Amino acid sequence: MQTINERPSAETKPRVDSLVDVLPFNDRIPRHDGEVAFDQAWEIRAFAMTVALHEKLGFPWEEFQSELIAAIRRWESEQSDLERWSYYERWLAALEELAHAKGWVSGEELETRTQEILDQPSTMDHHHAVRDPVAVVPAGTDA
Amino acid sequence: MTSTDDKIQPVAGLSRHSDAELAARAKAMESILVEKGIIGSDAIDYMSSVYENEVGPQIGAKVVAKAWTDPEFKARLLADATKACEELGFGGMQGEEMIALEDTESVHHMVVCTLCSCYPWPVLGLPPNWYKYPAYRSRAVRDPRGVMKEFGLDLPESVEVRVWDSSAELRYFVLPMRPEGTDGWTEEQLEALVTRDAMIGVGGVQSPGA
Repeated sequence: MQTINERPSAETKPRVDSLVDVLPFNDRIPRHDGEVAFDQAWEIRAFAMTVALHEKLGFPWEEFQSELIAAIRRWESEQSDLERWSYYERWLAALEELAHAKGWVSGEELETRTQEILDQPSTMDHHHAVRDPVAVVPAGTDA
Repeated sequence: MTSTDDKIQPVAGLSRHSDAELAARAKAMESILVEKGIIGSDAIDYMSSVYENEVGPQIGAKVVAKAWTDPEFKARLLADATKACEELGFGGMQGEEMIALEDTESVHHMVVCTLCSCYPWPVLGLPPNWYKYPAYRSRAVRDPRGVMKEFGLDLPESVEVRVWDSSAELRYFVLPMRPEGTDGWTEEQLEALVTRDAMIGVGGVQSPGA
């Protein structure tokens, strides 16, 4: 069974930090109090997916690094409007290139699936407000 | 449209997608990778938990600490949490209607989203991975006390437990009880005691002496 209260082991964070430290354009990574910071859930997901792929499949981290460099260069060669800049948007672009190069996910597969997800209302099943408790355990009846 | 506008049009493939589009792309990538067995979603969950606290619940902690020190704010928070949070400059996306549930000596509240992972973003940041696990979603309803014990919260039997289902329309968070031994503390000091788990209701707030 899934452990609900799982916490990452102590050595994981320094390991991930060391991967972040060698990334290109490191000074542009959003940070909060010196720590890598995220604004959106998808940013964490894209980040975690990449690190997990690297650790599970064992491809060299440099392969992702060079995709990220290429993705950032591509952006810079086309525009300079920093309002439009997002480190994690470039990150996701690099991950897409890597997945394509590795033969994991084709561009077409990704576009189709993305469209399917966008066409689905995000909270399809859970839109109404639930104004009463879903469970009440009265005092003194604890098993 | 002026010619300047035309010039800054990004080329295809390099446009700044909206967050909704980017979220869908990331989700699409994950679902295909998982489907093909290239990576397990548990491995991604594990990695994302390394940083999930970095975007964490500092805003909610500020709201709670303010309610502990300012009775009028607390009254406004309990009457209309959405408005009271906006008053402090917190609100927006996914927090259109929020309700703060006040813990007392006799009632303890706990929050779950039974179907997906509806969560009061503007005050608590990103949901922890376990919040969306089927194990939490079902057990929070069936055995809330057992779940709390796993998180280290052993409530006295004299306390009634109420479990609330967050949905897209209405999201809950818990206003825990102010711990003993904090008389005269500043809002900043109190803030540091408030954890995400306490605002979901699976954890308590530690007394400083405990």
